[in-house]
Amino acid sequence: MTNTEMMTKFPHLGQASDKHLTHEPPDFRHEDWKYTHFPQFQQYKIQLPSALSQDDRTPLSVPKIPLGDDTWIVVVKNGVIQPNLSQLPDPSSGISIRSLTEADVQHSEESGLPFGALAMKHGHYFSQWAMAQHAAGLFIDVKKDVVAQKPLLIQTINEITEAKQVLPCHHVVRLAPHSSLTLSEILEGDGAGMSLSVYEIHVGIGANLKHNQLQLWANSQECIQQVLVAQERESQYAHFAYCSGGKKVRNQLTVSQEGQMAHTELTGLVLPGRNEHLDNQTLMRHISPNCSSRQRYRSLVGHEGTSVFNGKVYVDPAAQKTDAYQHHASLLMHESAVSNAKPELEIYADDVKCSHGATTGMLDAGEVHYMRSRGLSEIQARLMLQEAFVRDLLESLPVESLRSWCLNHCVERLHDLNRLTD
Amino acid sequence: MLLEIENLRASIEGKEILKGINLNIPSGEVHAIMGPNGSGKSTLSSIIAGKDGYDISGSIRLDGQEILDWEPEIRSRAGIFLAFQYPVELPGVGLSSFLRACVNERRKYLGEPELDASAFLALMREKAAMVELSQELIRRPVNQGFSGGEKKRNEIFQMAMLEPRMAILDETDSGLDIDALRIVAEGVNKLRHAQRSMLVITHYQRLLEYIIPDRVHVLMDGAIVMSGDRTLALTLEEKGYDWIRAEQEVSS
Amino acid sequence: MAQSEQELLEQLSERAYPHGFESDIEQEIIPKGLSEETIRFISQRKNEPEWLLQWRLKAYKHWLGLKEPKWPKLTYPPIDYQDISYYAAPKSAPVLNSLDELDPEIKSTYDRLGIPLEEQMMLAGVAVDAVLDSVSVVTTFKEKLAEKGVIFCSISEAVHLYPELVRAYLGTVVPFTDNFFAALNSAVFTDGSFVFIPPGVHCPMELSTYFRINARGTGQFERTLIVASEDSYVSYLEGCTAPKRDENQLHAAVVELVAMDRGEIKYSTVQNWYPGDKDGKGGIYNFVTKRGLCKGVSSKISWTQVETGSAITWKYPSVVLQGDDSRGAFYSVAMTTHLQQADTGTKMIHIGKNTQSRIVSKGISAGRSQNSYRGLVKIRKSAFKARNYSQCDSLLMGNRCGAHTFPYFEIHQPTAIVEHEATTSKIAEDILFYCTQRGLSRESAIAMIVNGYAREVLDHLPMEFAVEARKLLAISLEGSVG
Repeated sequence: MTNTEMMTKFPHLGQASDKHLTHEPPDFRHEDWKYTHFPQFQQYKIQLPSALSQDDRTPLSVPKIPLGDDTWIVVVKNGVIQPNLSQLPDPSSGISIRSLTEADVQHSEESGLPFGALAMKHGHYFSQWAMAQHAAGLFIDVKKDVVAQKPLLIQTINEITEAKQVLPCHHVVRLAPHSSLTLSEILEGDGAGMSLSVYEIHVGIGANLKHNQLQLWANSQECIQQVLVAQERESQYAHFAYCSGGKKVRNQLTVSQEGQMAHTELTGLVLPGRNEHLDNQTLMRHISPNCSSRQRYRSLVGHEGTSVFNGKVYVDPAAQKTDAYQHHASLLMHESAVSNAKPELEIYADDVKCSHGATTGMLDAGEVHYMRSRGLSEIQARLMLQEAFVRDLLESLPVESLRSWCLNHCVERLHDLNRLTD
Repeated sequence: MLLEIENLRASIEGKEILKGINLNIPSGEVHAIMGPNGSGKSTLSSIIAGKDGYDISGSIRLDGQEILDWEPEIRSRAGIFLAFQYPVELPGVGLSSFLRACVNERRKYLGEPELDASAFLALMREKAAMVELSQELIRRPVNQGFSGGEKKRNEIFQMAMLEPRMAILDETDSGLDIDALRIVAEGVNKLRHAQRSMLVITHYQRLLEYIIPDRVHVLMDGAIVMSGDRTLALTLEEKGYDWIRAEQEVSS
Repeated sequence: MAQSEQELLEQLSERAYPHGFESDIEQEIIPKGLSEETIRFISQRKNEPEWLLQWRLKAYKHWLGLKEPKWPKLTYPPIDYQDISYYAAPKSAPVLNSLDELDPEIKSTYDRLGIPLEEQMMLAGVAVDAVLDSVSVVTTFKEKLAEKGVIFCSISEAVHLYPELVRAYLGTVVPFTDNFFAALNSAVFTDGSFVFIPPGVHCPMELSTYFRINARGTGQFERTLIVASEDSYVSYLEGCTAPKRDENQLHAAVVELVAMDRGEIKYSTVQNWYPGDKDGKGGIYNFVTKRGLCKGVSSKISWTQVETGSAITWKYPSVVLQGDDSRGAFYSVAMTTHLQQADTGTKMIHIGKNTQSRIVSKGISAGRSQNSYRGLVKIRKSAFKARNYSQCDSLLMGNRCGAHTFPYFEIHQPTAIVEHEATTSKIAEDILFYCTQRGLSRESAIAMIVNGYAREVLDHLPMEFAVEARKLLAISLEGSVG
């Protein structure tokens, strides 16, 4: 139903290319939704972004992270930009940030902006559903040759009080040729509803986008997110995901390298705790020659936590000389922890270098013992080893202040997970 | 004349690497080619052996026959052997079955009967002893798990097995310690023969103390800029390649 | 210097399928179609006991409610299950006691396949059960095996001679509810081999079954059951061929293995069903369910397969590691050329403590074929300190084929260690140059490199079959690479 609905609504966007698209929420019989599905989704009610009264600032925990004047900040609460809490870039900076409306999508043809096209082509059921529901969000536009002078931070706070309520969002990020931006996001909230977000990201010729997402959902919240990226030639896209909470989270990252010599770097650190189910899926679409990609994901799964990783590398017949690497490692901290992984290679070109690896295990007892024999307590030893497991991935987070904040958060989280384990 | 190279030019992706090489090697002689890094030494050896991917003009003749349009395996069967600078590993391919197929291809080409298993094994044992290659290595897949020195000895072993007319040794000395170098050089010397010529490509003079060449050629920027007897190697060792550059400038 | 595309295509079309002949044997074939009557007919023709008929009928009823699986990466036109004949048998002597009774035409069929039923197998020390279309035509070395108490006969015979054994194990590893094709097989299976190794017996020779589809318009649905008792060992090999035909023929077999305490089963397959011609016309649709149950402690089951045939392959030989300290292994070489499609792999289900499994899969794709590895490693909560290692490599030859890897890991026990590695590549030019510099032609260099690539798997085959498999790989590749 949704695909048709989206097509009817936005006829200029063409047809969906995914023939597996379902007309109802996909269930466990659908390969991509085997481990994570939302059987009651059809009963969910839509909560459209509602304006927040100007003086209602108390629930906002900004700034949690000491970023200072070195950062542009956009605060978005329940889908609406909060101007007086934000420090938006000056128009002279070459970077514009504004709300995206349905009208933008409706008239994207005239404006020459590709709103909706990626979601139509590669969006899954829920993304297309969100589009069909007039989802609004942000439009971030970086002009040609502009190298952003400061990192940009978007702080998203979703407080959907009731369960089975869903807040759909649609964000578009466009980097014109040879521009460069570091875009970080902190996603958090309270309540019991679901955040459903679609990102359409266009990285122009020779442009460079570093995209960091820190998901700190409360463990009563649900999230479905799809980040759709189209990369032009010689562009670079790096995505860093830190997922540390959520009742049921499904993140999908779909990156298409549409021009030669593009490089993609996907990194993820996933820490599901008690009754948390965190699912990260990647689809790396190598459709042009001479491109490369590198994916590294690690999960540290606590007591009654579940981690799902499904990473696919697709190499089109045209994508000769592709160099693709993917690795997923998962560390189970408790006997009730579950890890489901499905690293896939789908390759149609012969002159390629593709490899993937996956490991699952627990901390090495020998290592723990060795450290204890040097006088550390068992918990100290374990924490130290767990920290080592996550630390070098954190190095991929390019913003120093965010990185140290994230490391602290991670260590605290590990303390919690270990406490629950004992 | 066993090998004649005439005005050989080669380029790859529009970049000219060999700029008109002329070189004659009479039967039974050992010639050395020395030159700094990037002078085109390895390209020359690859092209004689028939490696794909170059734009080539000029002529290479073996026993008076033009070989430039021959496939690499035909050149090999006709007697050209290249000891690789970086021998590749062939996972799972046993060295003895590999060599048996190679030896018999060469024999078929020469109109000789194929070797049966026992004759082949006897030959293999004899030649392996010559380069001190252990039986254990012979049982392994080609070059898999071989040390750098073992790989180089394996190249000389294969050369002994295939009994080529024209052997090219591409930096066989690189990465060898002094003992391995001695073993390899002794093996090569045992294979010197009135009907066999060799082209020894090296960066350093050291190898030429063990394998005494009849002629030494200096290759720079894709051309042979100087030729002489073995004393040229010693002069080069003493004065370095800059000396030749200086000489070149004076003469031009 | 590489051969031109056109030359390659010509060579490609010349690739012969040496087993493509059809034998002129008098056959009894029932009319096409599947219904309760068909099943009653098969059961009656085989003079089966009532319980088996009832089991077949139950399976049939279950099958009616199932849909063909759609998740594999395979595309083929819908199969019309009413357009298949479910029973074909040579008219002469359905059960034989010695080779002298065998129809000379059947015997020559097997001779042409290179499966001599007498001297050579005696020399090789292999006992053979030969299944032609739906029925087992001969089993050799019965007496010699009987001395040790080893039962090796056709499953139809076993139903009569050892009904308790068959009844105790049939459908216990692959129940008819397992999947669409297993249900179909349970309803209509016609023959297959039955092996029982008594406690403490190390089976004195390799046991082997050769399957041959001969009749036109038929499907083959054999069912094999192997039971290794406590402290016993058996090595079993199956080989398969079929005539060259324009039509697609369905093969839906079920193999069940049970290993008791410290019992060990080595199951090897050299599958060379007719793959279809260069345009993808004809060829066998191979939908097979193979599963082993490591029931006892320290039991071992290994699957080794060399797959070069079939137009469509759907096959996941699996091991359920129930007994503590049991071991499962899967070694596979799957080669696809022309328009062949293979979706094959394994499942390792760890239940017992300290269970270990190993997966080595080598895919080779050429022509316009699609070759997928699909494998599941499942570690249940009870599988304390389970261990799995998987290595899945793909080799691509040419730019019109595909190689895919779909491993699934479901880990519910933190003390488990699961490791997986996969690579996809083509044969490097510098490796080919090295070989041609030594005098090998490009084709023989490729054959040698491919064999080297597959070696780790081939080394797990019994010696005489490893030689055969090596040749098969070289022949299958002929002219399809460049």
